[in-house]
Amino acid sequence: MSEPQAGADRAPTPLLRMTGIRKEFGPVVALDGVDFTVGAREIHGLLGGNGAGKTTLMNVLYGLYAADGGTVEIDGVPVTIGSPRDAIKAGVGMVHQSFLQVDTFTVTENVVLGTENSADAAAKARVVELSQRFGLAVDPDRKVEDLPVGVRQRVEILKALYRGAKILVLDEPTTNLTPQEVDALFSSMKAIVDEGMSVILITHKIRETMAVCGAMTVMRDGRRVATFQGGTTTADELAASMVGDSSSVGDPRNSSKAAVILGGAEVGQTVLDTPDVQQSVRAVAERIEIAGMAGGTAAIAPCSLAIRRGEIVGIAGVAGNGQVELAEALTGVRELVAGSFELDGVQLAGRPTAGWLSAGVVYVPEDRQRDGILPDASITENLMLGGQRERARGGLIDWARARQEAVQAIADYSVRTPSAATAAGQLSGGNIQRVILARAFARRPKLLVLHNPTRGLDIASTSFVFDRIRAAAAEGCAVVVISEDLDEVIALADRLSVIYSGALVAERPRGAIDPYEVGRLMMGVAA
Amino acid sequence: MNTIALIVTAMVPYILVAQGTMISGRAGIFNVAQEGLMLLGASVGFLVSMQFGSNILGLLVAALAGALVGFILAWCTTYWRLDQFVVGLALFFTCVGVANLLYRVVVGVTTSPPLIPLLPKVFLGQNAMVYVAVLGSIGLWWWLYRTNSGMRLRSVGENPKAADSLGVNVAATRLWAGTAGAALMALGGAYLPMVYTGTFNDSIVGGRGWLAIALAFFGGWRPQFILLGAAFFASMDVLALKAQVDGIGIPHQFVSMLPYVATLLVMIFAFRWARVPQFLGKNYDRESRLVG
Amino acid sequence: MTITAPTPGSPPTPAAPAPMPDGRHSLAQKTRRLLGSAIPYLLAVVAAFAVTAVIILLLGHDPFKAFQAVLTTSFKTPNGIVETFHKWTPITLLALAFAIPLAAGRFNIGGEGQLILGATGAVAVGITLSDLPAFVLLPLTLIAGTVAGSLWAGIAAWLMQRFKVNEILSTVLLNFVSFQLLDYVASEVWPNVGAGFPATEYIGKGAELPTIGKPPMHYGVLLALLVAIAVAVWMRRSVGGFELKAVGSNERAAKVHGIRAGKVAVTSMLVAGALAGLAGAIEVTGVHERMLEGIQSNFLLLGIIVGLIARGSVVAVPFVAFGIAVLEVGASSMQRAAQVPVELVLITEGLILLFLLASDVISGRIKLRRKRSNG
Repeated sequence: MSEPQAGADRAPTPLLRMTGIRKEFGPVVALDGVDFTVGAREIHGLLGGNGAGKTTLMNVLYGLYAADGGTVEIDGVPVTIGSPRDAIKAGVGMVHQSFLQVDTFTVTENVVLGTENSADAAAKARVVELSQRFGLAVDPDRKVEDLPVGVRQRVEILKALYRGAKILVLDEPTTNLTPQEVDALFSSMKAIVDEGMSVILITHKIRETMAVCGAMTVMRDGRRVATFQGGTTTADELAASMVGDSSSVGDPRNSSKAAVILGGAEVGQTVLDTPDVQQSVRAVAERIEIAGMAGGTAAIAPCSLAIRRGEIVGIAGVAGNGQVELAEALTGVRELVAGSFELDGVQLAGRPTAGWLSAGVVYVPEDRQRDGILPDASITENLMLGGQRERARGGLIDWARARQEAVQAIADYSVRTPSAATAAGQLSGGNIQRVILARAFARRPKLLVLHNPTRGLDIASTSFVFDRIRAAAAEGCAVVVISEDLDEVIALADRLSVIYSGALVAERPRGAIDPYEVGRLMMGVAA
Repeated sequence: MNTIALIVTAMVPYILVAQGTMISGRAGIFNVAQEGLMLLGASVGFLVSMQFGSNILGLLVAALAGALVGFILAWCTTYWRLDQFVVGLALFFTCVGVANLLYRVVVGVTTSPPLIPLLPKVFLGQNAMVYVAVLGSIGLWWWLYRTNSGMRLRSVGENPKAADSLGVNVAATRLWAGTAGAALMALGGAYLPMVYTGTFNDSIVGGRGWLAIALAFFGGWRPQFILLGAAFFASMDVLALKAQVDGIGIPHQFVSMLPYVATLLVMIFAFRWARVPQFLGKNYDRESRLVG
Repeated sequence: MTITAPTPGSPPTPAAPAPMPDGRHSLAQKTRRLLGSAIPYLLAVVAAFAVTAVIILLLGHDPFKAFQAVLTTSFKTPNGIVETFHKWTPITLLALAFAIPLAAGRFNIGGEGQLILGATGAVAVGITLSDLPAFVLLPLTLIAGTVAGSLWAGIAAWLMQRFKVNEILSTVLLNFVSFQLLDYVASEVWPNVGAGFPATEYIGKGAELPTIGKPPMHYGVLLALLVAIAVAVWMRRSVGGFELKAVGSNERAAKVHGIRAGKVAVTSMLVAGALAGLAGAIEVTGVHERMLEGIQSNFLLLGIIVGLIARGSVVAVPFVAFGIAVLEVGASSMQRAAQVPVELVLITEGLILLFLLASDVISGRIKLRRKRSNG
């Protein structure tokens, strides 16, 4: 491991120096005395698994969270940042993972909001000028709710530049971008650094970090583990310091799994226990058409899909190409406009959601807070959700038994909670997902549809979830994994489809998956 | 007075209260204490006018009383993040109690209630508040869509997290918008004894506060449409009154239902097209890890 | 896992002892928790009375005399006790009519309209079928009231479900419609011309609720008690109660997991309307023996206050309702004894609610601080 302070010593006055930053959420220590230094004209990668504290640290820098201890210096001058307003004044700009934009406002209105200017012609001219200088093409008069993700991200960056940011923080900016958009983003980042600013890139992807960053800081469990200068480290070393468990690095199985998750290794090395894919067909969706959210236009072109017993079908794609609609259609949450859906020969199309549920279809939704849990109900009640009718006798629920089962589930799934009576909304994101998965697997699904099942989970949790999914498949469950994380799909899928613009565009069996070809398909470029 | 003039006069309380609802709502605060705030405004406005012989003073003090209540609502929902409907309903009761109590304490129990002079007509047979309400609405329209501070207000009710991240002071915006909105509601209540009855009674508001909430939805939370919609609500009022006086062959009770039934019917359409501020009725917690 | 009391040999735990892993608590913990949750109530009541005392002093009256009148009237005489239970009945039913939709995240502010429709349904049967024997007529009268209240709430529920009309507004507006309906029924359909104010004829003898004791207390009190117990059991143990709470907690997630949220919400409104309608029918058959202007009294306000003070808990509603009934019964004797206007009681009740809300905030802050200083 490198000398931790190497980066700080080389630059005489760093642009940013954060010292001893501490932050607690109730009993959870999210940041435990973190030191973090960024030099001038530097793209600095901030790496770590989920829950490492990267975003929390940057939210402290941006004044969204009040730190419980520590100091911040910018250009060698101590600053007090109590709110985003202070941060902006000190020259900090931040692009969050979920964009902070007013949907009903135009691009210009979003950019000038919070400054003293109104959205007039002068403001518009300035937006155009900035977008040209840094290669961030946008139409200043469009409402942002009508814009695609990549363009909305440019609006976010423009917002920071319009305010004269010296330090630009990008939180996982490449998550939902195509490789082409990532390239454009990186060249914009270089243009920004060339003009004398610095960029902090929060990411958990090692490859892109090494490609673009001049320095890298790794965090784990709310602490800074190490800082590396560009070219002084290897992908393996970075991965090892992110995972933290040096003993497991020696185990080829573990390290390759970790590397797959981190996106650092070549794909194809990780064929684990391949389930027998020769089994009979379990679920068949035939030429299904799905109503879209807005205006009733079909979000999904008529598509067909057959899943065998024990098979894991992966569906890769960039967010917003119809994944949510497809997942909800395959689980009976969203009504089918046309087509049929059979599970073990039973027609489910036209039945209410509860009918699909009792037939053995289980859905692990992408948006856990919104679709997955009852935030102010206990874990016990959350585990009951969806099964309350089957498990009641004479219309009454046996809560004593449900509590016992909840204790067991908490142990089996290592949910970190004071008790089964704790409100699910008080759990961390990873633990909420464990509760949702415990509920899903407890139903012994015949068809399991998971959407971004490991997003936001740390590496240990991710491999735990992978194991559970494979175990369910081994028992004959038909599994559909819909994910924006190509590495996740490749790690799990026996067969992979790509979803683009509401259509399933290709199908490749395991072993015939070329990630670059898949990447092109995800962008809608014919292979 | 001809029908048009009556309608214009009747528009004022709807305009004031619905614009107040709109201003609060644009900051995310869904005030449901209108009915109580109007009664409080009517009581305070009447009593101050009676004691000091000045309707203008009565209107001002009524607005101040409303502002105080609005400030409490905004404070409780912004800093303490209490449920907006719960606090709103609690304030509704308290306002009703205070309004009746004040009248009882100052006037006592009497068979001949005291009267105050009505607002004088200043121009085209209408009182000054008519012009304040109409011109104010137009001004509100310009301010909301053409100025920086109007844009800030709108952003807080749409996406406070985004507004906050850009340095818009969300808490301060909610406080002033909640306060100003409630002041307008009380002002709308104070108008009633000064234009219609000359005195106060506990049923003087008669559901106008609730109807004004409907008007805010009907107007799509936009000042220009609220102004237009107020004409509809006022004409229902006047129509019911006229039919009752003239008699049209059906029991007067059914005519009196008209404004409420018409509003219910209108709501069916209003909720289809009206765009509601995204954050209406919600409380903003900067450090919440649950909110996107 | 079995539940055991803390073993005597175990070291004493200084802070709040951790619950069992399944979230259940020992008896001692339960008692402590109950006491802990009673403290904010106590503080809120004391603070509200303190503020009220200051107001009474400012008005130049004697707060001690006023409070004595308010708090003791219910218990001094048999009359007071019966009057208190007669008030408690509609307040409890209307509070449940508010609390049940609240559990599903819906606000029913239409209790008085539903009560008036319930009364209308009751007098319609009680007058037109007055010749029927009691064992047929009385149940029929109560059922008619219950159904009428439910249908009236059904209008708002339908508008909410079919057209997405905000239920706060629709229920409130229907109240104003119902006032006119009451006036029409009482002055046009079955008017009692001699009354001097809008009131209907008297219902048949067979439609009157039997009474017990002296002064007589009608059996509607018992009926309301049974309903309250049934509602509490239903909410805590039944599938329907669970689905209701699930919709209130997160409607989206409930739908994703197969719960028909719209149906649940509509049902909650229909049940609420039925309870308010029953209250109206009881007022007719047990108290007035007819329908008259103002039969709804201020039960809507009181019901909402009770529902909110009980924090939506249907178990707590009957108890809170009793406290509020005591205040209401005491209010008029307070005016007689200490010349303090009755309107003050409404302010006191509003203050109890506001202080209760504030005490949540304060206790939340204290907990946070304790947590910080500990860890």
